Amino acid sequence: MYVELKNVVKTYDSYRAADNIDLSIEEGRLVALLGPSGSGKTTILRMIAGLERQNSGDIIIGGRVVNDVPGSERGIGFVFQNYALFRYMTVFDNIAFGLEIQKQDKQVIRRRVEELLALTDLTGLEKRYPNQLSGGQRQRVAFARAIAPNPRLLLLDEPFAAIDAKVRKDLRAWLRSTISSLGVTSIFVTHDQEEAIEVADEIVVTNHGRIEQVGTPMEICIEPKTPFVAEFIGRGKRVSNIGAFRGFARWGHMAAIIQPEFVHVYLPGEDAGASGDALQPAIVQDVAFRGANWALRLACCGEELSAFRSLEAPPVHPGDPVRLSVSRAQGIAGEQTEPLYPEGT
Amino acid sequence: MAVTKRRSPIESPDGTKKFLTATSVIPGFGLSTGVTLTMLSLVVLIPLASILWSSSELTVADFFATIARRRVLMSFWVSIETALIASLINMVMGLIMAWVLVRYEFPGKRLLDGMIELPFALPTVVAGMALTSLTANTGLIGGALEAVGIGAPAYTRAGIVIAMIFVGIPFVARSIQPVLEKLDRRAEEAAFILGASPWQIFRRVIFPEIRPAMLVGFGLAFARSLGEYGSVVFIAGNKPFQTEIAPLLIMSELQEYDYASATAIALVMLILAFLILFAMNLIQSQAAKRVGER
Ligand SMILES: Nc1ncnc2c1ncn2[C@@H]1O[C@H](COP(=O)(O)OP(=O)(O)OP(=O)(O)O)[C@@H](O)[C@H]1O
Ligand SMILES: [Mg+2]
Repeated sequence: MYVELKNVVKTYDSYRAADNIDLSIEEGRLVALLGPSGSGKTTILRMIAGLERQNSGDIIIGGRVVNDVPGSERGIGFVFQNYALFRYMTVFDNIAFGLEIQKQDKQVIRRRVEELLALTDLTGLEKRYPNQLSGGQRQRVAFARAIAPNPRLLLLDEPFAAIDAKVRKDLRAWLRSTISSLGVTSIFVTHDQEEAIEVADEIVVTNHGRIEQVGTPMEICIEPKTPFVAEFIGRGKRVSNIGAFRGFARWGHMAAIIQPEFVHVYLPGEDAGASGDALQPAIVQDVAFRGANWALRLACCGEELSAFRSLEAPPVHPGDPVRLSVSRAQGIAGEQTEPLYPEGT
Repeated sequence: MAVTKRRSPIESPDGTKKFLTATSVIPGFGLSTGVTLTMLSLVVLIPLASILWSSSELTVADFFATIARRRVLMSFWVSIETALIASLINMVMGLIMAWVLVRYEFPGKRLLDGMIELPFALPTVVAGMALTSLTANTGLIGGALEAVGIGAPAYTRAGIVIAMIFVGIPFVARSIQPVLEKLDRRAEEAAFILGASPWQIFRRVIFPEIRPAMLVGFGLAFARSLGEYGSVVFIAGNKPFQTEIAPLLIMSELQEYDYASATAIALVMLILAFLILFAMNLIQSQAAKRVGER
């Protein structure tokens, strides 16, 4: 384990921004801290960086307890959400800053900065000031500045938040491949689940200062462990009575979350294949075009469901009566969840 | 040539007409410009022009004869020297005051914050009297300094510097304070994580940000100190060649009905003031260019 948090608590006045955090991160992994706003993601990151001191608990980096080690000596690179570039320094000087502080040889610094400029595709911009750069370029300067001194651990707070959607996609892919080629252990904060799923090897879902679940993007999506994760990930709807859906009767009045991927919608007369007799009636409430498919909102058995429909299938309209089947739900029992499959499958 | 003549005003290549209308977001641009220019002329330009006008009655030879008098030259030197020392001290003290007010929480902070403007609010004569009685050899501080062999500052150039520090400090503190408040703390944290010491963070990250404000504060304090009369008149003692500052000399020339000399000295002060303003504007626009503000 390269980074470990043990029973870490951080309170602001009486509010527990980090509530008994236990977390282990393996060397070389790219980990996402994912959670809603105010769930403590930044707080966790800042404690690891030594910018914030925990009230209790231990933080261990590379086998060393760093509770009393100042952030400047933890071997960390930090990319701030707003980049926090030095406005009065050129791109070159920004990137060189950490190396100059270490009093490295001028030639060595020059070579390292040039290497990073090439890596971040900023060659030719080294004499510019931050205000003369685009958002994406600033982001890459911040990244280059953070990794210049070869940190063992890279922390990024919402690295893509301030960048427009198109550039964000490219930058994500770039960051992912760059980090994995550097092999540096990295933790990044995001509240965008899509981003976490696409970029991270491992996702840590936070809520109210606690960790809800740690797992690969696949595990988080397919096997959400807590009701919160089941609801937070994906676009699923919560139903209070799963027993009302065909095939789920034996779970009675259990609450569950049904993801749109597992709701199959058929117009009357449309061939439903094998699930033919498991269908039940529903009414289309709303249809929204999502580029790759239609997103439907449906009323069924007094509950609301969401579903996707292929662009190739005959279109449906609000008010249309349809038939549907549910192939999977995530049942909620107290603080636990379990996957539910309809009987007969 | 003929082509340029046939251009209509709208197509005029310098584009002034277009500029005025296109950039005026607030309605009533014409009116407000008129009011501004009128006020500026009435309050600032016309009085200043009158100095120039009366100085135009001087011949160039007279002007230089007045200026070159040893007493006059010394008064300029005393003014510039004391104002320079006072403003340099103010730059450091003002920075410390602004720093404390922005970066620390302590009881009485609001009160202290409010008191910075006191030198603006207080009639300068009152300040002068108070400072004189404090720093004379019978006063609290003056007596103590006398006792340890340094000597009371009142009626010396040190006294002038003290008065100038008093009137000049709000300029520096208030120029730096808002800039410090606006500073992005994340940049300091970034420098910290990269291993910078507090001093390195200050020198390399914070100082470049506040340097323009410090220089502007210095310039304002310097200009104010150069022209300061009320608070200096008591504490200076006004000994010619030693503690007589230029504004005082203007007063005494006027009392002797020597308007020509008074005007000549005033003209030099005016030029100095313009030079300072010009330098400050240069500093500000250069700094703004660097970070992309206008
Ligand atoms: N300096 C502070 N003083 C008081 N409360 C704070 C402070 N910093 C954070 N908090 C509180 O701690 C909680 C967690 O904050 P944190 O910044 O870690 O959230 P986050 O998950 O990063 O949210 P976001 O996605 O909005 O950035 C919030 O409720 C916040 O109000
Ligand atoms: Mg945050």
